Amino acid sequence: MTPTDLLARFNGPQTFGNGRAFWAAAGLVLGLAVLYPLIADSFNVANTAYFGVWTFMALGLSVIWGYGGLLSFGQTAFFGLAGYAYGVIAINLGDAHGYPILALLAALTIASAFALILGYFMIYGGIGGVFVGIVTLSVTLAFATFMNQTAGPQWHIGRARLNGYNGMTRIPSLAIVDFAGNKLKIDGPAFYYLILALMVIIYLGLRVLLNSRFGNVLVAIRENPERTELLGYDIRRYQLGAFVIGGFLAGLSGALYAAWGNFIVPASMALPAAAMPIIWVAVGGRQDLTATLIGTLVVLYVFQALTVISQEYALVVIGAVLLVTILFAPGGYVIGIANLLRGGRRGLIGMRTGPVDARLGAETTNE
Amino acid sequence: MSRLLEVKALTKRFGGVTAIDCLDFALEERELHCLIGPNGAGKSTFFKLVTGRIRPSSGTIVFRGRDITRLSSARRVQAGMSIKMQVPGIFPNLPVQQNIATALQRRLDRAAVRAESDRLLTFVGLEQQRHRLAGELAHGQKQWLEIAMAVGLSPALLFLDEPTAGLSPEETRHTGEMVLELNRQGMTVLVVEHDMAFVRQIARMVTVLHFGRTFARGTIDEIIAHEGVQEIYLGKAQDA
Repeated sequence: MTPTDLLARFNGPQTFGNGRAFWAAAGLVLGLAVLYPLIADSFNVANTAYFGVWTFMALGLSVIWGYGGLLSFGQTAFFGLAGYAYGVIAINLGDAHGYPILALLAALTIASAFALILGYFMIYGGIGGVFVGIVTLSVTLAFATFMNQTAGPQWHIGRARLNGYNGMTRIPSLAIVDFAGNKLKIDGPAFYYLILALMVIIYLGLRVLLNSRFGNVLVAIRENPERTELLGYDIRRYQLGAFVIGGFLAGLSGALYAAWGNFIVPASMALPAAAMPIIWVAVGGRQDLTATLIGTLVVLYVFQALTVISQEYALVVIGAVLLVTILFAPGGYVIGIANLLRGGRRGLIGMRTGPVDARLGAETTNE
Repeated sequence: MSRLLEVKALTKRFGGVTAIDCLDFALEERELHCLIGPNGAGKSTFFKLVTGRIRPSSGTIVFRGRDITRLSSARRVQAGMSIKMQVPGIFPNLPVQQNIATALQRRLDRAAVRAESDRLLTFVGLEQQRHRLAGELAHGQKQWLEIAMAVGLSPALLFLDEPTAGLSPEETRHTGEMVLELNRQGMTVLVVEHDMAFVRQIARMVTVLHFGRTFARGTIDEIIAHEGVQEIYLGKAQDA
């Protein structure tokens, strides 16, 4: 495969920006992001890395919901599971010998396996449409409620205290060892660059995946599951594949979050937290990876700025933003603005792919 | 000619209603066969049974020498069936080109998909529409797009359920020419239809269903001349 072939795979019908101008702008943004730690103070670098941590969960939801048409309301279940799994394993192994990397990989395996099992029973059990949201949300809330009551000293796994409502603390940061066997902690700018590298790899990887046959079939299932099956595709396999990818990415966010903040709490899975990924993805434009990425970072930034004023107030504003999005830009603002800039007649109202009755979640109810 | 599809003693009951009643049916390779019958004769149920949308109460369906009675729709399609549903089954928010590509990519690589979709879109007369969203097409064009998608699977058996539903007489005639051309190229086609003008245009062999059984089977001329068929279409058989 020549480099040109490889580059061609990043582009296709399932992603919005495919032209030279788009890639030039993307390169510029990446360049600025690489230089950012040189000009910003350490708080802002850590804070930006924190925003980056959440984007994996958002991209995963975009795959499941925006591309696959299954509205999962329970991405924070995988987030929390991986966060706690990373915490338990990293606390028990300690942070020498690069063990936190092992803990990270184990946490991702656990989250993916859980997504595989939950997704299998849901998708092969014939649960569709709005019920996917109900089942996934129920699982998340059950998990959060369970973790909330693990306050006593009897709730521990090895040396790791689960600690109920207050959450698990003193979770080791990521660390590797150099050739001399010295421990190198991944925090500060190193963590920032790790997150940035992961964002680039995962964003590009998902672009290749979604512009491949897999992505075409996934979108076809969203548009018309029966027709897709009658073209000879086993649609449940594709949906399960998307669900596991989404669970893996939410798990990546969760484990990295636990490593970044050295703690994980049940509230990171509960209802307000579970609704957040849906808002990020819907506001930016769930049917496109780039729109999801931009939308997530913008909403996170705005939400944090508002939280400084008042947390309750911030939730109300973000809720209102979601409502306005559903009513006036069901395809998401990033997509809407991009259409306006192109002079597209569909403007803010249109989805990337069409004029659409596809209001928020409309495709999840027509099964 | 060899036998492509054989349905034996097929029965489907819905509660107390027997929609398909111990039906035997066979289709030879390269045949162009029409299945007709008045409303409620069991045409749609038969279609759903053979395409795997529902399971029979009893009986077997053999396709290309293989018992497919228990296979899912997707597996039947993989075995060489292709189905065009009555209500246009397309991807309305995707461009025409991508609708076709999704059908073709299961058996062809990227370059071949492009060439084959050009050929198919030209065949159904949609080559000018390739970049439009499928949902923006006129009703007849949607029907043709779906025929192109179904043909794109390169099936051993093309199954068309009322392909002319909602079409004008002109569009119906055009659809008939497409079906005849496909059959000339060697494709076996089974059409479920109640538009008799269309059936006269395309069919050589016709099977008439009535109350879930084979009422008559023969060439189109024999069927038209058949008194009993005229009666069930006019309702006399039920009144008597």
